Amino acid sequence: MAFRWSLANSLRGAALALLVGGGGIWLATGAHLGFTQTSVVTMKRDEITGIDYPERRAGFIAGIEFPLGTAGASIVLALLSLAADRRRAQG
Amino acid sequence: MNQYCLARVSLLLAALGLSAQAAPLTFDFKDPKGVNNVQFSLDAPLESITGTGTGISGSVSFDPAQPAATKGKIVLETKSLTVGNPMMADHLRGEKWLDVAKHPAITFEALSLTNVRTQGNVVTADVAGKLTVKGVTKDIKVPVSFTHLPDRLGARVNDPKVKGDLLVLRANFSINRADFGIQPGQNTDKVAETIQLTLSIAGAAPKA
Repeated sequence: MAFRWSLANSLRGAALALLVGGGGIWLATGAHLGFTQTSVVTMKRDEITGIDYPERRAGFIAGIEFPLGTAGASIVLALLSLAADRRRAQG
Repeated sequence: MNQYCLARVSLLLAALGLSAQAAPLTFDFKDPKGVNNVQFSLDAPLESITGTGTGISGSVSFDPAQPAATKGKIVLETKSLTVGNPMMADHLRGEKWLDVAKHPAITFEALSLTNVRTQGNVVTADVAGKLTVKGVTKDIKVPVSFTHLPDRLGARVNDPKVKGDLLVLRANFSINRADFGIQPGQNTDKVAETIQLTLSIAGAAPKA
């Protein structure tokens, strides 16, 4: 069966891309189980006092809402693709 | 006669020197280098939260010869407290949680020391004092280590002409947010009741 571009297939492709992309970004940034962080802390040591201190800088760590959100959006797109299939079959 | 006068002046100077050494030093904890910090962590079933605060000031009177007489007050600017998630940081500073607009500072006033032990330049003790968070003051006891670093201020500010001592305080302790009226019994699945605190701060006592 030859693959044919259609709205339904495009929606399924987008759903798959979202699912893989969202999960991939979450895994790549450390599979953080909390919420998304937009700054990260690196610990440094002051050599005179010996104090360990946090240095906060801008950074991105995807939180658990990231794969969950993209998975939810993927499900919506997949359902829309089914609806598009039905509409085409009826038409 | 001259020799007698010289001896008296020498004795006076020696006495002044001794009394100057014996006097407690006042360390200022306002840190221009931004190194002084408090780290906090909360471990709730749904979310572990870690954050930092750097707006620290205050002063401590410390006598290396008499560490048990240490007194002082440390102030943490509540608006300096932050976490990695900006929305969570806004909630933290908001009316329901720390309400930084109404309560701009968390303070700890050290009143007495017990269980004082000295090892070299490090003194450890249980410091009893009053902790005020969100307008609620509680008596608490905190294990603190004091590290006295004589004549190290110049090295810290990269200016050998600046003379003075440093005092490094370290403390690990926990408090219960409900004790300070911070959403008692609420949202415990996301925000733990127990808050672990790690304090690492250095104060300076310049010498004239």
